[in-house]
Amino acid sequence: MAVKRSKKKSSAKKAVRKKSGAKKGPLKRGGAKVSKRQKSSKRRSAPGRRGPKVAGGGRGRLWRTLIAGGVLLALLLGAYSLYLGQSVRVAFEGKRWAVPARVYARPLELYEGAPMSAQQLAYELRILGYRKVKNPWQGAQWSLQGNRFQIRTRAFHFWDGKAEGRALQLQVRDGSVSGLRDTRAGEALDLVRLEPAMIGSIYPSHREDRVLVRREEIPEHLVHALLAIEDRRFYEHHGVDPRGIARAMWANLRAGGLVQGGSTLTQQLVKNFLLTSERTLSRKLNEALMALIVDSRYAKDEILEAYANEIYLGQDGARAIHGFGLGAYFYFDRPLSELQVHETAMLVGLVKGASYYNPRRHPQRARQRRDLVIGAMQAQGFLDAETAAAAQAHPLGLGQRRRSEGHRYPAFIQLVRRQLQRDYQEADLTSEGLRIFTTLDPWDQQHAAKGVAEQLDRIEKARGIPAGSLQAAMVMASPQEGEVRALVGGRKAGVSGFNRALAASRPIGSLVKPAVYLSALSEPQRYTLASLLKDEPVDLQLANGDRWRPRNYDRKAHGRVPLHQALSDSLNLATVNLGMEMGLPRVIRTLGKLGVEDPPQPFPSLLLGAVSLSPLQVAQVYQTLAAGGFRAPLRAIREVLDAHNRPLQRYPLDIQQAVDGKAVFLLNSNLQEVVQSGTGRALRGYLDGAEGIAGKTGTTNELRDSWFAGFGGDRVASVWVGRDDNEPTGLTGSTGALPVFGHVMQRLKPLPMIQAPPAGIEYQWIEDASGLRSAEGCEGALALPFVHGSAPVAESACGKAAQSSGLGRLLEKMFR
Amino acid sequence: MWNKAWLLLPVLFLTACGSFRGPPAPVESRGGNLPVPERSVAVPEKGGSAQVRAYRLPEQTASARPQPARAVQVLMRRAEDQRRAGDFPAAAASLERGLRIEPRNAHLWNKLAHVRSAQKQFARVEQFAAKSNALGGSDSALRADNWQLIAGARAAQGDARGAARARRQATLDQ
Repeated sequence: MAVKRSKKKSSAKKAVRKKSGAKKGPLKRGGAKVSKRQKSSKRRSAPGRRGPKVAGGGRGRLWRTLIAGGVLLALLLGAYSLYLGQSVRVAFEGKRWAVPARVYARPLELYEGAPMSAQQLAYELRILGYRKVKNPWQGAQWSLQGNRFQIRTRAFHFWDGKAEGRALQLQVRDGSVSGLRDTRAGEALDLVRLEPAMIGSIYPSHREDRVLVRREEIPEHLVHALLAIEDRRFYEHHGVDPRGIARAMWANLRAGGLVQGGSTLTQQLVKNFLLTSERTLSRKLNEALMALIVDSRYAKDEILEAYANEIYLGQDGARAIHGFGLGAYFYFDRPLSELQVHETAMLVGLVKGASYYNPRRHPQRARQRRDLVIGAMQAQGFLDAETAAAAQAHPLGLGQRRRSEGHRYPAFIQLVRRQLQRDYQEADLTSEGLRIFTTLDPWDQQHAAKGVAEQLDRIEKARGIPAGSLQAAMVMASPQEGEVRALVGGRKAGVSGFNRALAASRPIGSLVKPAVYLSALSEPQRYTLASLLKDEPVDLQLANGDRWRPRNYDRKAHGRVPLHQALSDSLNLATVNLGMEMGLPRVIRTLGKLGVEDPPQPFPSLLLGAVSLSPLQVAQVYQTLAAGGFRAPLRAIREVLDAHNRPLQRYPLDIQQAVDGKAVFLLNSNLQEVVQSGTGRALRGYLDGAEGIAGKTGTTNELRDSWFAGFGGDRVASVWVGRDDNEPTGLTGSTGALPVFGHVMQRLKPLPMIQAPPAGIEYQWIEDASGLRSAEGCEGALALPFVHGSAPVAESACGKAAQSSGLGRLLEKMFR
Repeated sequence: MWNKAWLLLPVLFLTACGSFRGPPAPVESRGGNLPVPERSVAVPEKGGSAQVRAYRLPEQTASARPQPARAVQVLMRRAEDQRRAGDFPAAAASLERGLRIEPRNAHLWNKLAHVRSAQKQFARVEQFAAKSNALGGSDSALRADNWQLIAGARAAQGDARGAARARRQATLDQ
């Protein structure tokens, strides 16, 4: 029965197994091949069968018993090896090819004029694992002299084809790239992209990780090291090596202890693959039997390849490091093919005990073990004395200890998973070796994560808030295309946990007001930026009989105020009066168009932000504004390729004109005023005047949530600051979330937003206090944008006087 | 009339605002598009002496056809070759790559609309063409082409009246 089940599985897995063979279609839901690993750790007893009844007596009886016993034994043994053989097949053809999906950041584009600092480029190269050297001569090396970078890139398979390694040269001057050339080809380059950084993997729950390598990708010196130290006669024996065992026994006897193991590579592989770690004789026998089966069924190189991908080489938190492919990255930050003898020798040394010889914890031991391996290589004739000595002279040369792969951007990876799960099954993500190209901008991400952490520390200190009590989240996207550039789920960005950017749904307070004012400005014949609103006390009877009496933040009523000022100063009373005048359904509709998927309840308190959204949803709303009314569903993924670099799925650019561009233009002008002179003006201190930045603060009841959302030309971002227990923080939008936004943007130097007035917008001088048409130079006159034909006609006194003067008439003629 | 206005503009800038920085940027001469000099607004009630500028047209009034980066030109040419060869996914990928470099380039959006049109993704055609128009300023040839695309997409989706409206717009814009 067990065999039957395995059979089905193994045939299902065959499609996956062959690396070069044709794989069956895309791994979409439905047609997916589930490749859950089957651990045949439980050894079943052979099918029980009673021996034939023994009859008769004397010698004949003995003989008959013996023969019957022999037959029975042979039968049992045959059945058992059939079962073992089946297990071997399952293991070989399923398990060894389970590879987690690889997740990549966006590739960095280099071109003449690309915005860049030397600091950023150095950072990008570092996270690629490129090494800074004096003279780059091989892949993944770079140098910097003055402002000139020399970079040797690796070949890389992008979603739209393979890019060969290049010898790049470029300068970074005055914040941009120039003089981009390929020095090997001797030609100027218009455009080139660096390979994207690998930012994580999607593991199955037991968190085994590996980077698959093929036999031909395994450096010969690694094979030599393995043969020399683990299994000299690998290519000669049949899975078990009696001579090796004898030699090991002899060595152990002489040493009076266990100094040498006689296990062949095949046996070790079988042990890793199939069996539990109990140390019994029966297990040993099983192991030997299976090793013989494996050896008879598979070619030596296949076994070697499986071994190289299976062997356990260390632990990284909860992640188990399997195989030399991943080991190379984990210990040396480089692909296996780039390693040199002393490095592969160290990896091979780990086979005997990855934690005992852990080079990070016990560099001394690791080095001794490595040198032993090198010595054995020399003794077996794989290395000459000189090379061996040179290799032994090298320091261990470990790569920088990086934080665990999946832990560097756990919040962003979670968003990626969420978007992938719409199209793929969990099993495919964790076993099919998919390559997932995302939109993450590591430079932005790093600054966002740092900005959140530093500012929360600072705010807590400055305001006497208990250390560690504040939490925050931030989402940053590209305005026109809606690509998520960075996502921070909490103040400890490297630690996976509650992801507030996706999951913390909090009342958004005044961040909702732009939706109210946009609703108004979409009716230009009724409302303009110059319309006077009633900032007067509100007293509403709610459906449940309660009365609602909201107040302004300063607890005053300001009488009649221009619409633009009401938004700029975030006046609650004016906003509620405006919203009630238009009706809540209009505001709810506008929110829907901006990207709020679940329509909020039509309570009046909605007008002041009694609607709960996550920072990601807020970012979507403000993206629509930043893009002039074109909503681009926020995306974290660009492309998905299968393990053979064939495109499985694109996540193409999509936009939807959701709101009229003219109304959005008026609103965005107003949101710039918020930053210039309104509740967001503190931003000017961070961003050198903050010209070309639009934004809005948000604060909720009793100062529980502090929000800021805003955008410039190339980035839109939302920030939430509050407490996980939802207790008051004492922070407003302007003292909590705004500094985080400001601090992060200050470092990223966003381009100013370019708001070209769409057709049908005109500017008009207005007397601010009265909302009447005025003229330039008049007291209190302000040039406001209007939808064509909506500007007030009635003139102020000063406006009239100017009108009758010559210049006024000329202006009038020219610009009507 | 408009020629005169052009001549006057720099003068107006100079007289209107002492604090104007740099030479006046080229301004698209389009009806109803009054360039407004920067304006200082005092906000005494909020923390004193801050002089802020609000409601100022950006100095660089986006011209319809800003000089695209050479990289973008290369990508546009590549996309054109890919489109001609019938490799529409590759053409779209090249154009999207260009848009990441210049997200406000109206011509990239227009070309992407063409590719989607060839792929019969008509809902996208309308959106991309509309986006191109929103960013395209007064490039009338581009606008007309976008309206033609929209007309074609609407017709293909069975919206004959909408298509006719778009076609009228196309001739108006020419």
